[in-house]
Amino acid sequence: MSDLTINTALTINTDDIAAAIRGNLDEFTPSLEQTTVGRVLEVGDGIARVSGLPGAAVNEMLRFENGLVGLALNLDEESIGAVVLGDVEGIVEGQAVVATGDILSVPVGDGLLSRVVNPLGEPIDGKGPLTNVEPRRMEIQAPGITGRKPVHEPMQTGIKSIDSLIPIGRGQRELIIGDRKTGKTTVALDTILNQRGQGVKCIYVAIGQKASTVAQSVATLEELGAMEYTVVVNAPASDPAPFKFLAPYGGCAIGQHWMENGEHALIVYDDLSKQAEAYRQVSLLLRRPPGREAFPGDVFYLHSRLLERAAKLSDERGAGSLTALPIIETKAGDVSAFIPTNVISITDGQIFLQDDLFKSGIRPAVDVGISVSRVGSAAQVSAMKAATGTLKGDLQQFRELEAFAAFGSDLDAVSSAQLERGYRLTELLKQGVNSPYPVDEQAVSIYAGTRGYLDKLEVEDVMRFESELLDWFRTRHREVMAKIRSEGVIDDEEAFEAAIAAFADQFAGSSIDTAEPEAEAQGEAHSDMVDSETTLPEEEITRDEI
Amino acid sequence: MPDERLDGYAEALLAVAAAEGQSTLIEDELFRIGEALRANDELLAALSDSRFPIERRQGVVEDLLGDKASAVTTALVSMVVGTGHGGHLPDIVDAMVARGAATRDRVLAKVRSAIELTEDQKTRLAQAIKSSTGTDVEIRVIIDESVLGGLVTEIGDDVIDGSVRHRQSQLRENFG
Amino acid sequence: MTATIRRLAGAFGLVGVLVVLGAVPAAAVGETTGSCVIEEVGRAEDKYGSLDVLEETHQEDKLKKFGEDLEKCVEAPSPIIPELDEIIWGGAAFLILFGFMWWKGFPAVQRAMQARSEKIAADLDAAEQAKTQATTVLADHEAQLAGAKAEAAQIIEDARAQADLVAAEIQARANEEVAQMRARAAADIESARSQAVSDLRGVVADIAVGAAERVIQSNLDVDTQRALVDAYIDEVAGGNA
Repeated sequence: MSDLTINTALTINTDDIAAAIRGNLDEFTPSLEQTTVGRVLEVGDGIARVSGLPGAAVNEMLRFENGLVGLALNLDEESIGAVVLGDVEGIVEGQAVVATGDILSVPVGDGLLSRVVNPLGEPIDGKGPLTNVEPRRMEIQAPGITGRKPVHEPMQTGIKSIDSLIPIGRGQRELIIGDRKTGKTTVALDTILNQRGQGVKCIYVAIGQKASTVAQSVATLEELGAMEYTVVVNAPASDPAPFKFLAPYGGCAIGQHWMENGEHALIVYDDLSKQAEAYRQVSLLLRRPPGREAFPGDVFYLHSRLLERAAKLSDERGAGSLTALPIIETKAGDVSAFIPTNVISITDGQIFLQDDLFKSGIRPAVDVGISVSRVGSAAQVSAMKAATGTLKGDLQQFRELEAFAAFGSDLDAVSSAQLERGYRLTELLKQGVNSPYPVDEQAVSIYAGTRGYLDKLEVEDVMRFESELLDWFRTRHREVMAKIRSEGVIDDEEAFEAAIAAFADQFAGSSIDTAEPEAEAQGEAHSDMVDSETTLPEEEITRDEI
Repeated sequence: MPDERLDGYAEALLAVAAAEGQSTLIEDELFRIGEALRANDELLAALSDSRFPIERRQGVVEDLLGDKASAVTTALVSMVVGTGHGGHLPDIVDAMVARGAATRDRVLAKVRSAIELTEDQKTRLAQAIKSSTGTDVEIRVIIDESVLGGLVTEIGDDVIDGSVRHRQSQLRENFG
Repeated sequence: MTATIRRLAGAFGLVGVLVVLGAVPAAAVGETTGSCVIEEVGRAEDKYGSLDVLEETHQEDKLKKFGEDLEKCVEAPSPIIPELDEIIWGGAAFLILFGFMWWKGFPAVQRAMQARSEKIAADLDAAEQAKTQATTVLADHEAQLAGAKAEAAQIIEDARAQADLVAAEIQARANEEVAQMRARAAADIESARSQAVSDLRGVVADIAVGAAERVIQSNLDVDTQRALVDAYIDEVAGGNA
């Protein structure tokens, strides 16, 4: 046989194939083994009932005669209810079924990076078989209390409104919740994009999505160089329900492997509502009794055991972390439905994305009023803490005042100043798609916003002000930026603020009267801050509690 | 069909065979017929097809078995088909053979082979199985060309597969 | 200022008084027309006796001389020195007027003068101020100009630095991108290769096993079959199961 040439750089030698086959043959020793076989009693809807096999365990893999794999889920007295991982076409009644003795496992390791795999870890991107991987059980108990330590390192999402107000730490579980078309996936993908160069390996688990949407997401990640440190676990809408309900566990096993090797990983479950629905389908077909909203009784455990596996490990165990960003889709903003309440109660906080905010052009449509992060503030870098200052309080007051202002009522000077600042801060927190901000740039722009340097600008000028300010800092204060980036601190806050003031002085707004009274604006800004702090102490207290 | 009814029929067949004093022959013949039916879906379907009148189905049985099996065996098969349980005949026969073996304190071992085994081979196999699993077995051989070579022994749910077919599939898996 | 005005007014007053006093003796030396006529008539009567006599006697030359003397009386004896009563009236009027002026006019003038002088002073001050302001503005402008120059220099420097930076960054990025593309292409090739190898391996294995099956199916003779069965039995007996 002559060499098979696919292109100039790609030559497949016949020796390669011969060697591969010989290797397989060498390993092959036909053995006589006693196996226990069961028989398929009935099959349909992706479920097979199997008789016999008294020794089979829960989640054990069963092999059907045609090579398909099933997962034993229901162990009844007379039979086993198993989900078939694949097309049930080739399975007929009476066929022999063998218990493999293996618990469901997936390949894990660095060989998965930049690959797209199915929930069983089989590559589906046409890039050949996986290399540099090892098998790992899909379902593993979460690390216990002693194996963990509190979250303390930041997981920068690159989204200003989240990193400043709802900071996420490595090892945290932060829910992203919102109606359809409110930018949930975008938030998650932006976070993945922002991990470039941060040493965080990412897993994007797409559950029940349109294949075209996933292809789009993969293309985006590839284009922006994020696939290098990302693996996509895809269970598209066309996959049978068992794949959709297993996909998160497969992805989680991949992430846990990195976590236990002392590395940092980020996993996005997009989205768990669809997983719950797939699980409901499987459960109903397995004739498990339905409960609220027809979900089976253990649907809480379905998500809790998954999300508990995200953790920050103790130093003895390598100090790795697995951060989980589960996504839940609500219907018409109803967060009191079964699955949303379940997942909200399991996670360490949630990012609410509101439809009306999205439609009014505030994107990302994060509702900072009701979004919280229960543990992330410990992980926020000090530069961001300094920059954020009274941002949350200011925005909350702004929301209240905005409601009043809608009635057209006259406001006193302090209130209208707060209102004006609120408009500018809201404008400042807007951000484009696929454009995560590094932490240093976030710190600069938010610092300028909270210290009142935007107050005298026209709202339309805020974006331009910000981008020019960042240019100013990038060129003139590189070392300050580098320091924030590397150590997360602002060395000399006075000098930092002076630098912002210097920029604000020379910034030419689009309206004529903005240029001159810039210097006064600072003075007022300070007095405003003092006002807000002295007049509204309660807000301060409640904010710390969140 | 519930297990109790299968057992009931099995017991009845066994009793008839014992009463006729030809239990070994009849059991053997019934076993072969059962396996033949199991391997031939079309025939099995025809015997249980309620669109044909029962007489016609019994006629098929007699035509098939008339000159090959003993009269008692033919009559027994015909009777089962006559009750409308022709489709369950293989299961009934399995239950009967297992029962028969149990009365002799043995366990049924179905052996699939491409060729007929000699008596010597059967005895040695029974001894071999006893020595390895500790159970007394009664060997019943099914000629099945699809095993290609070697033997497949089924004892209850346990299978000891040493067939050429199995080795081929192992090889194929190894390459996959 | 006020003192000057007062001195000036004093001088005017003195001159006025002197003029009046000087005029009195002058008036006393001269004669009025009437008294002159009476005097001439008396003199003539002393000289000629009665005038009527003259007329009657027709002493023409004497009459003529008398006429001339009378005419001399009509003519003012001094063209400059007015008559005394005029001086007195004039002086009185002057004094009254002067008094009135001193009482009313002088303060008004003084006020006007004061206002004027103040205005001038204010104008002067304003001019002074304007001058200093102009100087400041000039200085400011110069400072701004200098600042602008420095700023411009800074901006140019920054721009240059940034341009260098951007150029370096672009180059780095381009290099990185090229490296990435190369790596990606290599990875693609590698993955295509391994995919092809695995595909091919599968196909070859399939063919090989298929061929083996065919051969086995047709070539297993009875002896081999027996041997297989015996081997199986031995294996089972050997506890290999």
